[in-house]
Amino acid sequence: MQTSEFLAALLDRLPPDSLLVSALGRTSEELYRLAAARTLVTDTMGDVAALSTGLAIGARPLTVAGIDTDGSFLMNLSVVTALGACLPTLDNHTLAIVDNGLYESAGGMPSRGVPLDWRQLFGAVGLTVVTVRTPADLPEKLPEPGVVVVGHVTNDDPAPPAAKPIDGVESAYLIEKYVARQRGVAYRRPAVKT
Amino acid sequence: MTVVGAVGAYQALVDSDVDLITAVPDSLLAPLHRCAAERDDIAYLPVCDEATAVGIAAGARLAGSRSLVLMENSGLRRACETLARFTLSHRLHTVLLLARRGAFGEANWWGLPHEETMHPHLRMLSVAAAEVDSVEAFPGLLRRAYDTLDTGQRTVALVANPSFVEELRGR
Repeated sequence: MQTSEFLAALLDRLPPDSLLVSALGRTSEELYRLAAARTLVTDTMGDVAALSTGLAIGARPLTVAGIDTDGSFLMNLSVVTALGACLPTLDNHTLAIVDNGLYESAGGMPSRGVPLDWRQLFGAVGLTVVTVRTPADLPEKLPEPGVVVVGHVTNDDPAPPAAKPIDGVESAYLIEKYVARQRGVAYRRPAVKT
Repeated sequence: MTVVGAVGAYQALVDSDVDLITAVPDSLLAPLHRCAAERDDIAYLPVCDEATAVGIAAGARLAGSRSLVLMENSGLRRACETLARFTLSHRLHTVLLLARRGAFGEANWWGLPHEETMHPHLRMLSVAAAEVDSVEAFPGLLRRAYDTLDTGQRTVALVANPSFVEELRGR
C-alpha cells in the first residue's frame, strides 16, 4: 500500500468536511492535493497529535483527523499519556500514523533501529491500534473514539517536490476561518480600531 | 485543599472565559493547579511535558477556544522547538502562565538558570509578556493578554512573580 492509497482510503472513511492536520513531507503534499481547503499543513515534527487533539477539543462537533508520520510521532512520545487521557472520550477525533519506517524527507534513513510494536505502545495507555496494510483493513467509518490507525506504507517513487503554494501562516489563517465557518461562529476580530 | 488566593486566581480565569487549561504541574503554581483539578468550570488537562501542553492549547485556540497553558518558566526550554515552529512559522498562538522560578531571592541552586534563560527565550520567540504581581491585578492582565492573543500575531506570557505565587498559597 502506498501513501496515496492509504490517505485516499482514510479520507473516504471520514466525514467529508473533516479537518485534517498534516505532518510534513509526502503526507502533506498528498493531503493538500486531496483536500487543500481543509488541511492544516505543518512543518513541525512531534506536534501533530497534540495539535489535532486540541483542535478537536475546540472544534466540536467538527471531526478532526491528525495525520502524522512515524518519524514525527516518535519525536514526542510524551504525548502518549495525553492521548490516552483524551481520545477515548473524544468522539470527533481520529489519529492516524503513516508509517513508512523512514525519515523520507530527511534522506530516507530509518526512523528507528528496533522493531516497534504500535499496539503495545498505545495499548499501554488504553488505546486500540487498527493496523492497516491494505485499504480494506480500515474501519468502515471513522472516527472511532480510542482508536489509533497505523497505516504501513511502501513507496517506490521518490519523495515528491514541495508543490503546495501555501506556507504555515497562510494555512493556519485559512483553517481558523474554515473552523469558524463550519461551526457557524464569528471569526476572530484581529483589531478593535479602524 | 485549596486556599483563598488560588480560588481568586481561578475565578479570574473563569471570569475571563478561559475554557481549557493544559498544564505541566509545578510546585510554585501548585495551589492553582489543585484548584483547577478540583473544579469543573474549566476543562483541566494535565500532561507530561510543555511541548504537548502548548500543542493542545494552540490547537484548541485555532478552533476558537480560550485556552491557557500553566507551566514553570523552565518549560520554555522544553517547549522551545514547538513554540518556535508555532509562533514564528505558523502563527499558532496561545497564552502561557509561567511560574517565575529563579527570581531575585531564589534559594535553590537549580532554579537560577530558569530566570536566566526565560528572558532570551521570550525575546527570541517574540512572545508578548507581562508580570503578574498580585491576584488583584490578575483579571486585568488576563483581559489584556487575550486582547493581544486575538490579534493573531503573538503568543502571550504572563509571568507569575513571587508575590503572586505567595498569594496563591494564601500567605
